[in-house]
Amino acid sequence: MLSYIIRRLFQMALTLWIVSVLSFLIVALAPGDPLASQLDPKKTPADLERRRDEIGYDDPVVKKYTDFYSRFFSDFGAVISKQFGGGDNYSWQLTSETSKEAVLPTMWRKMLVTLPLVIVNTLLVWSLSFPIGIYSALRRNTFQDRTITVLSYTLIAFPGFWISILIIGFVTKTLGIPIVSPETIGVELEGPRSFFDRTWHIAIPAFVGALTGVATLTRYVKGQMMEVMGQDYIRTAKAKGLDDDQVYYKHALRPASLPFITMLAGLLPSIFGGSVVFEAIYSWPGLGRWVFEAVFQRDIYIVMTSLFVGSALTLIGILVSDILLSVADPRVRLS
Amino acid sequence: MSDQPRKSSSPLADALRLFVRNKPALISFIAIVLLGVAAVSGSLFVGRKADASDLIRMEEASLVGDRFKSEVIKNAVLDPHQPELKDTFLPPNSQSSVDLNKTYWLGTDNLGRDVLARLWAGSSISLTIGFLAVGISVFLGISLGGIAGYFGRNRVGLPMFATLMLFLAWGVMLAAGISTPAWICFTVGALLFAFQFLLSVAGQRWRTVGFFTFAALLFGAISWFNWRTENQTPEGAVHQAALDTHRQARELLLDLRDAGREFKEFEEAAPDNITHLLEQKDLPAWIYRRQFGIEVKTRLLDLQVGRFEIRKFRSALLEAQRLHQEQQERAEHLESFAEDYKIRHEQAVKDEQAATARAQDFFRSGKNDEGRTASLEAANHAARASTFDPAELKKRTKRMREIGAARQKYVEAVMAALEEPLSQRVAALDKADQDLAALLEADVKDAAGMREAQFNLEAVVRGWKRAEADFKEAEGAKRLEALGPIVEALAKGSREDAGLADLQAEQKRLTAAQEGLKAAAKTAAEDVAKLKTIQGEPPEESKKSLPLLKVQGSNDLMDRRGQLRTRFVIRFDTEAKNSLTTLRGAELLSGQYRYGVYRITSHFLTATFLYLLLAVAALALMASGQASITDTKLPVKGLFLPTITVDDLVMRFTEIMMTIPVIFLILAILAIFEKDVFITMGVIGLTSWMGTTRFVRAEILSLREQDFVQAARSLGLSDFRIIWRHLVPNAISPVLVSASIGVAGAVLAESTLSFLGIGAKPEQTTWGQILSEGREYIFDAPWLTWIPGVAILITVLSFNLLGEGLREAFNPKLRGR
Repeated sequence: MLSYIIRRLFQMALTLWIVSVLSFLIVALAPGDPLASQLDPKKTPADLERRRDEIGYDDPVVKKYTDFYSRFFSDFGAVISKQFGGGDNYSWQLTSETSKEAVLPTMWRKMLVTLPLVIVNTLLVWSLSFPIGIYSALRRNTFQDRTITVLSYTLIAFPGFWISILIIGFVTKTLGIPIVSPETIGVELEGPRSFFDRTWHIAIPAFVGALTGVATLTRYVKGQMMEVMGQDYIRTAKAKGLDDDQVYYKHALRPASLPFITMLAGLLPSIFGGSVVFEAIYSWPGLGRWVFEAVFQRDIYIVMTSLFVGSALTLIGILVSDILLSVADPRVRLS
Repeated sequence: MSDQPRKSSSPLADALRLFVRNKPALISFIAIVLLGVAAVSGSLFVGRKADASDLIRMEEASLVGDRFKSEVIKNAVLDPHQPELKDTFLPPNSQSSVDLNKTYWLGTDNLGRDVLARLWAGSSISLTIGFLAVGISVFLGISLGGIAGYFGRNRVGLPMFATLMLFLAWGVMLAAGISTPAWICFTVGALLFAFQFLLSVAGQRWRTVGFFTFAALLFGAISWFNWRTENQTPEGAVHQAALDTHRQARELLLDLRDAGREFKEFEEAAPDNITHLLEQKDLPAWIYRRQFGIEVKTRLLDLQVGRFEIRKFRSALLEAQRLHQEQQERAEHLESFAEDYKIRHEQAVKDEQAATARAQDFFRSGKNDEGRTASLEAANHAARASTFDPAELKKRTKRMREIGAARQKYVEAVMAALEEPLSQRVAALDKADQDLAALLEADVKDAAGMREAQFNLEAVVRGWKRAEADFKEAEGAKRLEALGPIVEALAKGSREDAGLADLQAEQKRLTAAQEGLKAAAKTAAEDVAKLKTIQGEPPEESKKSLPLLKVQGSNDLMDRRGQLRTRFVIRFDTEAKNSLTTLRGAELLSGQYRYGVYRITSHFLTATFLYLLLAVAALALMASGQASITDTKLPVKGLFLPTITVDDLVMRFTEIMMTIPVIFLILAILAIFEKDVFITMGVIGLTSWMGTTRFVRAEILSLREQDFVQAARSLGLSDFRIIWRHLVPNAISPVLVSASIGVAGAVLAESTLSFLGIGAKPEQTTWGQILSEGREYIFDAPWLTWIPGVAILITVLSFNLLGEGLREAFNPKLRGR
């Protein structure tokens, strides 16, 4: 087990290195100048040139690459050492060119904004789709099953942004409740009222975002469930006279839910890029929107950092889900 | 199943029967066919040439006035771009206030454009995008997955792999504009290639030789294509000139940066005494040389710019000529409507007469209100009749032609007239160029001269110092001399004499010192004058002002660099990227592209796709063992031992691509390019192939082990035959299913990106774009969001259901899942 993990970590490092080169090629070789958007009239061209020298704008490609990653890992080390009570007088090396903020701390802050949305979204998806999927599989070819199937197809086809703007239109106009942004702007709320305000603001984007997820996962759960139900040992269990609940929930559901452990791998990076569209529509100042804006302001450090961190999270997610799968399923051997 | 014997037992027929029985899938299929028909017919009826930009239209309008503009647009039966501000925000199923015969079935938007027309035009773009994006991803998925599945166990020699990677890196770097590393990659790759080629010839592996030749030919063809696009067209020439200029400006910039760095180091080490400064050897010469070199290079660059302008002017003239020819074609196009005009005209005349008659009847019978309405209608019809007058059309087209011809003649005349002066100017520029180059050479010589002068300066200073020392020595001697009488007097013991001698000595000493000082001042003044002539600054003053000067100098240098960047680098950066496709409107739009984007869209896309094709073909041939030289009988066999299995190669790459967060990847790539829906399509296709690759590989792996494939192999069939006759027919159905669902995903992705405002150009009407425009008017005109939304919903739903239907039809076991 340990040797497997070590080997996997080594492979991950190699993959990450290739990913870093690829993402660097895509992002850093793009045309455009982060200082071109510099509109500060106090800055003379000479100042801009000095700044260009500082960030190594004219440097050769390889130097740019090594510079970026040495800065990134130095900052990353500082983040880690701060977690363990390290010194506070570290000067961040990666800073955004437009907002002058340090990239990694800002990323952490933005992630905290996005996190509630993603958590509620994920909870909704996973807690709704399993019961619905199992229900639909157990009542195969009934009216309920067909309704669920038709509904899930329709929901998969729904453009999320469209339903969002319809709902925003409806709620803000007819009900008169503001739902855009994480909390009501311009109103100071305290205690439970603030809590409910925030809940209400999370609920709608999370719910709309979950619609497609619920539909997809429901269909997947149903498919898995039905495949297992068709197996011989289920028939045997039924023939033995076990009661239905025991057959369904003990003998069928357990093997049927194994493949979903693999899907857990996607949860970790979904904190990262899962909600660009919804953050843009509901104007959440979260991670997705931050990167979205950075891409168009040529804020290379932000884009590269997020690509790298996102890829690393994906790899970690895959590793964790593989290990979990081997724990849950004795048939899977790690080698 | 019924009792009747089955008519056909072929699996395809079975699948068809199952599919037809599946009602939702059948309905979706019909819906998709209808959509396809709408998409095709839409692009036929829109009556707008694909590449006809709004600029051409505006030009036409300016030729014959606004009336003509609205005519031209009206002739296009359904133009999604037709703004009719009078009819803004009409709800669905309402009548136009401009043309009484026209009904807006789906309403109008904020510019009064017909939503139905826009939807129609959008269907064409959205479906094209969906199909092409899926085409790309399915192509990549099938080929990579198939290679990994079928040839997975073969091993590829690392030199081969390295060659491929080096050539790919070369292409990517060239596209990104980094030339030196690109050419290093190319050279190393070519050497490796030649080495392997020779080895395979020596080892008499003729299939490998054939593969190498084929790859070289394909590569040559692609390079030739690139070269032709970049050099042989007028736009290409401009592009090349811009690239040249940009390269030069960039070199100059880097030169300046180095100068700045040296200066900074110097500044940091700055002492505030002149001796130290002088120890820095040739400071003034260095500054002078740097400044002069930069001056000369800047002027060279200016010359280059002049040449660039000339080339651009020429190309613009050619473009103008092309435009006028297009105008002639448009006139012909307009003429083809003559029959239509005639019919409409006659109809309008008839309508007018009928309406007039009705109006007269109404007035006679005293129904004044109805009469007025009818007469208004008659007037309207009369207007229409005059609009569609065939004679008018003839006149108009004739005029158009005349104008077009005249303009063309004018352009030709301008070209003829300017050809000579232009070439003269180019010659003059060439000469100036040479002169400047000579100057630059002279500068190098000058530098040598300066160094000599520097030596002289140092010699003078040394002389000065020696003079100072001499002066000190002399003073000491004089003092001794002056002290002589005192000593003598002291020896004599006479107090009075001593006092007198003392005074005398003191006086003498003073005069001598005065003289010495005078002489010293004289030499110093001479030295200063000498220094002045050489250095331009007296050393005494420099003592104080030089550090200050240095700071200022560094500032100046940076300033200069900034100016240079704005003057040449940024300009030619954009110019080089813009010139290929958008010579026409680049000047108008340049403000929009502050951040810089690659606008050589079509060229870049074609090159990328060709390279992809090459890479896939090479990989396939390499994997199939045609090109492997690992088992060659040569003694150097050991050289090729490092190998990697094809499966590893392909699947590791797939995993790497799956690791990068797709949405950020798409955003990052889209930010590089000018907004264009076809770029979006390419990006969606290039980022969505990984799933297909994985399951095609799994499918092929399982098929490969089945008995019929083993049997085919034991019969000695070739790989090619096994793949085409046995594997592909069996593996095609899941691919079809995933393609169908993929189209749904691509349509959704495209509309999402367009909705975010990064997918399509403003003039490219896609459903996502209509939705995003309608978002602002969600309360005033809800149909603007509902209609495109429902259209997307139906399309995506249809493709999903079709995919599911296909899956069930091909695999009846899965029914009801």
